[in-house]
Amino acid sequence: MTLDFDTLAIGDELPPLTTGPITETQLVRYAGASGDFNPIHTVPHVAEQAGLGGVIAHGMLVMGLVGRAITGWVGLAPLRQFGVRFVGITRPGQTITVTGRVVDKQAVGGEHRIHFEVAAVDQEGELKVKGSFTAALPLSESVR
Amino acid sequence: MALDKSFIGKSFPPFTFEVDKSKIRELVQALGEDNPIFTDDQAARSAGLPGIVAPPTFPTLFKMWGEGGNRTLIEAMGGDPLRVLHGEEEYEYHGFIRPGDLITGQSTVISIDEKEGRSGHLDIAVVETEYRNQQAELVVVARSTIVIRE
Repeated sequence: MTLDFDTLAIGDELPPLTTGPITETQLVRYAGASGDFNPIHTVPHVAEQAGLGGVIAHGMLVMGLVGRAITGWVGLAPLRQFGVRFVGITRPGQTITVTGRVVDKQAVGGEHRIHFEVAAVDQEGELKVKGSFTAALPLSESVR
Repeated sequence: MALDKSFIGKSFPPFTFEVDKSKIRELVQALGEDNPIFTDDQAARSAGLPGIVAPPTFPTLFKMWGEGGNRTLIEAMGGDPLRVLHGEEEYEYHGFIRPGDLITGQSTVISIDEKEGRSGHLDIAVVETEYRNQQAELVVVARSTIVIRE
């Protein structure tokens, strides 16, 4: 799929990415990869003591899943900005679906930028993160 | 234990992180990512990139491995690291991050605000970290919003 500036219209939705379920092993791998060794993500009794009812996923892991969706949609080179707000707790066993939608189109400094909103929800539709990203996209072949 | 507002506008000492292919591979595998632009130089070049590049949330490694993460900064500002929540994270991308890069980061406290939340008093700190490569080129600016529950 190649997305371009002209073809995308405000309100257009991108194909959702569903990934998971999140596993406890994945949280251990993510801890080792990212360097975030807060034990609430990997050690069950610490997470219980913290009142979390078990280990929870790193927020940045869920942002990483949103990042996976974004690079699948637009690639890496066009990405100018990406931000999220962490809203809900993600637990092992949950399946995450990332959605994206066009909210604005602008020409900025010689680039044609599209601003998207993104969200990640679990299989029950409970919101985990919401945010946005901006990508500088090419014009379509027909108008170039 | 409230945050010390005299930190607003102040910068923490710079820190470094050396990017290598295996660290990029570990992160993309932990995310279940199979796009070869992050692991295979030839595939990345075929996609119009200069070679393997780091994925969008890779700068979190700079902060965690290089500086100790948000909890370390909050502790330095007088907050309780056990009460830290990650509120928001934002990246502005200015250049590629590639294997072999030596990244230098420096964090600055942008703001410290207080708010009455549903569950009590909150301190909210915004920390911005600039990351430059070995050519002193700005590659990423990261902005973390850190919430401390009283």
